[in-house]
Amino acid sequence: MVKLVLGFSHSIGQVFIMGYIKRIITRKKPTNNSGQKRSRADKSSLKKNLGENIKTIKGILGQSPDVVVRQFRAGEDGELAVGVIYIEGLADRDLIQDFIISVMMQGRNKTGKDSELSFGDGIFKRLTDLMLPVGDVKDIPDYDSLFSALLTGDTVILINGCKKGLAVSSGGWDKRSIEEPTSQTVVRGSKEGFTETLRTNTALIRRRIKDPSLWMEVKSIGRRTRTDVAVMYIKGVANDRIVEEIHRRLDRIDIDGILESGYIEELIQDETYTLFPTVFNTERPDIAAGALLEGRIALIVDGTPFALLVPALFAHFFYTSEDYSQRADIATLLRLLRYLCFFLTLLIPSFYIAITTFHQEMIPTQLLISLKAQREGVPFPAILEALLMEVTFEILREAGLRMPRAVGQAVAIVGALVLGEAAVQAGIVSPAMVIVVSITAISSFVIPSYNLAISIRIMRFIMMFLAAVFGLFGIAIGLLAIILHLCSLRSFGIPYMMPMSPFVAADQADTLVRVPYWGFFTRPRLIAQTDMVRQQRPSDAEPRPPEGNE
Amino acid sequence: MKPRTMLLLIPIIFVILLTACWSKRELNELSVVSALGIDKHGEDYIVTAQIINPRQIAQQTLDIQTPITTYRAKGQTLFEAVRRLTLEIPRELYLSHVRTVIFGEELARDGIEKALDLLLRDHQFRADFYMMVAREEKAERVLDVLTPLEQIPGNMIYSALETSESRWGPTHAADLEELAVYLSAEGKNPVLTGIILEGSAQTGMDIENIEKVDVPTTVQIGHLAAFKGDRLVGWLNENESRGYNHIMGNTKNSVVTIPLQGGGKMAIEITGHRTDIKAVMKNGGAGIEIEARLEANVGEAQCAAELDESQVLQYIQEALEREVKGYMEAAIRSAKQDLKSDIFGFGDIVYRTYPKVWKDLSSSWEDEFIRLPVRIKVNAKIKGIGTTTQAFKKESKE
Repeated sequence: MVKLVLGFSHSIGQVFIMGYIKRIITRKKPTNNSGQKRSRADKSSLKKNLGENIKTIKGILGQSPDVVVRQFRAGEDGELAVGVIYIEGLADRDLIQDFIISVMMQGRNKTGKDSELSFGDGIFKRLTDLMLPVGDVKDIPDYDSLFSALLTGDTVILINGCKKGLAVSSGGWDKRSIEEPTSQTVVRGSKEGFTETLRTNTALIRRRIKDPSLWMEVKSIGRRTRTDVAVMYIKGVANDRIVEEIHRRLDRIDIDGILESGYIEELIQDETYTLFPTVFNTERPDIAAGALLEGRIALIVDGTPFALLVPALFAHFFYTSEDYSQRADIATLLRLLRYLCFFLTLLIPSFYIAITTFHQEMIPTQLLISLKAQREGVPFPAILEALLMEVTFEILREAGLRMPRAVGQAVAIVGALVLGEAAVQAGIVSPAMVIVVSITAISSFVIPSYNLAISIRIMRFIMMFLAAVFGLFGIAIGLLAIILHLCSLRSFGIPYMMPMSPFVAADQADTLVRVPYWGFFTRPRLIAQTDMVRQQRPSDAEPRPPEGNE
Repeated sequence: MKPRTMLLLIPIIFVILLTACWSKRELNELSVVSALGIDKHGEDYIVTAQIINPRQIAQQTLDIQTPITTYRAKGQTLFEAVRRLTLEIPRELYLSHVRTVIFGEELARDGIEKALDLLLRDHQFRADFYMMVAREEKAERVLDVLTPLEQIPGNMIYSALETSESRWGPTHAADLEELAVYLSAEGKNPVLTGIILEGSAQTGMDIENIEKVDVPTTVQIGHLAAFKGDRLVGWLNENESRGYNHIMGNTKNSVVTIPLQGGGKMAIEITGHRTDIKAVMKNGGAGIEIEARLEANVGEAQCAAELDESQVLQYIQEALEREVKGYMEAAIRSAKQDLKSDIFGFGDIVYRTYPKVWKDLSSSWEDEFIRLPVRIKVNAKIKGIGTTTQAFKKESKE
C-alpha cells in the first residue's frame, strides 16, 4: 500500500507534469556558441602599438560612448604615449583623475629621475612601485584579461611600445546603500539587509564573524554576464565534502547569464521536480551568519540581495532570525504557531470541502445548521465555491504584488469588497467559505519563507481536489504522499526532513522548539560533521545566583 | 520515468477520476432530521420526522417561519416509512444528527425491539441520541410542539434530559447502546425517560406558541418508563424514579428535601454518590445488599437549626439517609409489586456472583425477583453547610 502510494505520488508529480517539461528541455539542444567564440578570439596578446591597441578595443566594444579613452604623453619630454581606458559609470572618475592621470602627467617633474620612466620591460614595475598610489594593480597580458578588468570597473593603462598593460582597480559605481530588508522583517534584531553589491554583502558577513577560518572562494559564472559568485563557509565547521560538491555543481554551470541567485539555485539544487525548496535564500546577513556558524555554506551572488544557504532542511524554512533574539519560550511558541499555520494553510479549504460534502455527521449539529443555512441558495458545489474564492484570492495577491504601488490601494478596496461583501450578498459564495479562505490566506503569510509559502499554495489546490473526490481519505492519501515525498528529498546529500527523519535527538533542541542557549550548544548533526561542539559545558552557561552570597 | 510506467499510470488515473465524487452530498441537498417519532397504527408504523429549517434557525430570513417542520409517513417497516417521506420532502433525509427518538406509548407497550433494528442497522444513525417514551400520547404529537429558548425541539429535549439527569435526578438519559445491552442481557430490564405533552397539541404547533411569555403548550420530561423485556409495563412516579437512580448510582447531583423536627424543612444538595450492589446467599436463597454512600451539602435551611453543632449535623445526616432510603425502597416496592420487572438488574448481579445458583433461578426469575430480599444501607455525609451557619430568622432576632 505504501509502495503504491509512493509510486502514485511520484508518478503524478513527476511523470505527467515534470516528464513533459523534461521532454521539452531535452528537445532544445544548445546550438549557438557565439559567446565562446568571442572569448577564444580575445586570447591573443596585446600589440606594441598603442594606437592599434585602442582601435582594436574600440572595435570590439562597438564604439560604445561610455568607454572613455584618454591619451596623453608622459616622461621627460613626453616621449611616452600613454592611454588610459575606463568605462564611465563603472570606474570612479575622481580616483582616475587624482591618482592615475595627474600623477603620471606630473611624474616627470617630481621624480627627477626621468631616465627610469622610459622604454623597457621594467616600466610597469616602476609605475607600480613608485607612481601609482592605488590599492590593487594587476598586469594584463592579453585582450581577454583586459576586457574582464575593464568591464568590472578597473582602469586600463596602456603604454605605446609595450606588449603589456596595467589594470588599476578603480571600481566605483553608484550603488544602493544598506537598507532594512523588505522580505524578512523582524521586530527585534539587526535591521541590515544585503545589497546588490557582492563586496558589501561579504563585508556584512565578515563583520559578524571575525574568524580567520571564514573562507571565501569567488567564481565568475555566466559566459556573458561574468557574475561573481562567492562561496563562504567556516573552514573546519562546514563539511568539506559539501563544499566540494558545491564547487563541482557551480563549475558544471554553463550558461550565458546569471542575473539573480535564483538562477544558481535552480542549477545546483538536488531535485528539480519537487514543490519544496531545497535551497534557502535570505536577505539578512544575520541569518547567513547564523547558518555559517551551523556549518552551512553561503552562496552570495553579485547583483542580488538574496544570498543562498545550503544545505537547506525543511525545518529551516520555519525559522526566523527572531527565534534567536527573543526569549526561548516566546520563540518556541511562535515556532509552533508557524508549524500550525503550515497545516492550516495547506489543509483548511480541503478539510472544509471534505467535511461538508462527505462527512456531515462529524460536524456538531448547531454548526451544521449554521453552515447549512449559509449554503442555502449557493449555486455551486463546495469544491467549485472554494476554487472560485481561492483563485480570486490568488489573483488579488498577484495583482497586489505586480501593480504599480500607486494603484495598490484600489486593488485592496475592490478585493475586499468583491470578496467580503458582494460575493456573499449575491449568494455566489457562502460566508463560511470567505472565512475559510481568509484563514488560509492569513496563515500562509505566517510562513517566514516566501518560497515555501508558494509551494504550499500549489499543494493546497491538489489537496482540495483530493478532498473533493475522496473526502477525508483523499486528504489522508495526499498527506501521506507529501510526507513520503519529503522524506525522499535531499539537500546536498543531507536528508531534507532531518532531524525528524532520520531522527537526531540532539538536534531536537532547536527544531520544533527552541530551548534556552545553555541547553543545546552543539551544531546540527549531519550538516556540521567535524567541529560539533559550540560550547564544551552548556550547563555552565545556565544563569544562577552567585554561590556563598547570602 | 519509463514510458511503460506511464502507460500503467493512465488507467490508474482514469480509475480514480471515474469514481468522481462518490457519495458526495452538498449541505444544501440535505434535510437534517433533529428528532424522530415512532408510532404504531394497527400493524403499520408511523414515522414522524422533525426537520430543521436552517434559515430560520440562523436568522437569515425576515419572514416568520417555524424553525422546524414535521412530516409523517406510514409504512409496514420503519425504513419503508422513512423512504416514503421523500414524497413530501424535496431533499434527502439526513439522520446522523437525530438527537432524540421518541416512541409512542402504544408502540412501547407493544414492544420496541422491532423498531430498534433500523436505528442499530442504518449507518447514518450515530449512537449518541437519547430515546424516550411519550406518556399517554402519540410521539408525533409531542414532536409537533414548538419550544422557545432552544428553537429545535429535538435539541431541546436532548439537552433538557442531560441537564435534568445531572442536576435534578429523576430522569435517565438512555442511549441506543445502553438500551441494546439491557435488552440483550438476562436479568436486566431497561427504563426510558418519559415525555409529557402539557397543554394542547393544536396550539403547540403554532408559531404563536413561542411568541408568548408564558408558553401555553410545552413538552416536559420526567418519570421513568419501566420496561419488561422490550415492552413498557408501567411508570415510576418522581420519588420512585429518584430511588431508581440512587440504586443504579446514576445520580450525579440532586436535591433532596428532608422534613425536620418541629415542622422545619431543609434542602440538601447531593454532590457525590456511589452505590455498591452485592448479591448474597442467605438461608439457601439469594438476596441483594445495596450500600449507598452520599456526600452532600446543606443547600437551604428553613428551620432554626444551629448547623455548626455536630449533633445537628448528625441528625441531618440520619434524616437524609432515611429519606434516600425511602426513595429506594419505594422504587423497589413498585418494581416488585406493580411492574413485576427487574429494572435494577438484580438478576444480572446474582448471575455474576453465583452463576450456578442463577441456573436454577433464571427460568423463574420473575417470581424470584418479587420475593427477593433486598437490604438497603445508606451512608450520608454532610460536607458543607454553605456560607452561613445559622438560619436568617434567628440572627435577625438578636
